[in-house]
Amino acid sequence: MHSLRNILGFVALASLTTLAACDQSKPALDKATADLTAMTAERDGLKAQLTASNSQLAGLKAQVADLQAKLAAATAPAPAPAVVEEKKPEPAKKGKKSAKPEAKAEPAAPLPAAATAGPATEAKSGRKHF
Amino acid sequence: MTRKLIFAFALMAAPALVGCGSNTTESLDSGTSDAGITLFGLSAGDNCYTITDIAPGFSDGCMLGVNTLVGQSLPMNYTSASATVQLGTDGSLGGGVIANNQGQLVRDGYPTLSGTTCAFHQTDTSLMQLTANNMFTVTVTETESSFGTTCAAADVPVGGTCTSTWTWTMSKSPVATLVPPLCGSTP
Repeated sequence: MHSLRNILGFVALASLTTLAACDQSKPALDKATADLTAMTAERDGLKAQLTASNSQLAGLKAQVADLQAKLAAATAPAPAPAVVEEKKPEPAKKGKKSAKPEAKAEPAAPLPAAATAGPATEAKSGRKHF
Repeated sequence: MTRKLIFAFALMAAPALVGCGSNTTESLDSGTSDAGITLFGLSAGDNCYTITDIAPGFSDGCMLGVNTLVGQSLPMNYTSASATVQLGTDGSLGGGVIANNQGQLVRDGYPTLSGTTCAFHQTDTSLMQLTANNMFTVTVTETESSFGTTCAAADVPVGGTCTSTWTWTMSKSPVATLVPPLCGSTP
């Protein structure tokens, strides 16, 4: 009988100890749950920021492409006049017709300025002035 | 805490990776010139151009006789490699680059009146507009100033400065020669 009372006492003591241990872990569990909730919210916020950044990035890329196209168009050298070929009579050759010369388009190179000082002497007026 | 930091770094790195993997095959316009303009040509080298007309409303403050020169010719040089034009004897009406059928020719010099020691400052700004192959209009503004002390009173304009402004229509002379009196520097 005495032995049974001892066993019951031991079991009660063990149960109390276990309950006490459970009570001690509950605050940690609550804290972990709160942390998880906060982190999930933070993650969702960052995901939203990422989506917004990506769409902004796409817009900026389009703007860069547009500006690069405009810059290329603006810096492209304007076309210079082509050279008008002079008609020169070709020496007659048997069995060969003289071909009509075609106007040759010159490449539009970067163009330097060509200001002049004009003639050193000139007349006051009339043809000799020019 | 460490896990949170790692997660945040991962999210920050993601846009960078997206940027690195962006599509680089976007094609850009290659800067084509104005497609709607009909470009006219000029004969290369030295050629004579006849003054076929002067536009009404010209002003000849320097008394150059610009209206009396209709029918006469002036030399013009076109260098195709640099697309530069020099109009008049030694570029007396200016030199400059022609592109898209037009260009501004500039002269800034200190010539001496022939037969005298009278020097003065002369500037010419000529706006050239091609209207056909070897044909153009040129609107000239010539200013003369800073006449030297050796200049005769008759050679100095009132106030010491004068300006002439006029527009000539010019076309390439069929006479392919620079020999005077049609085109050379001495009539």
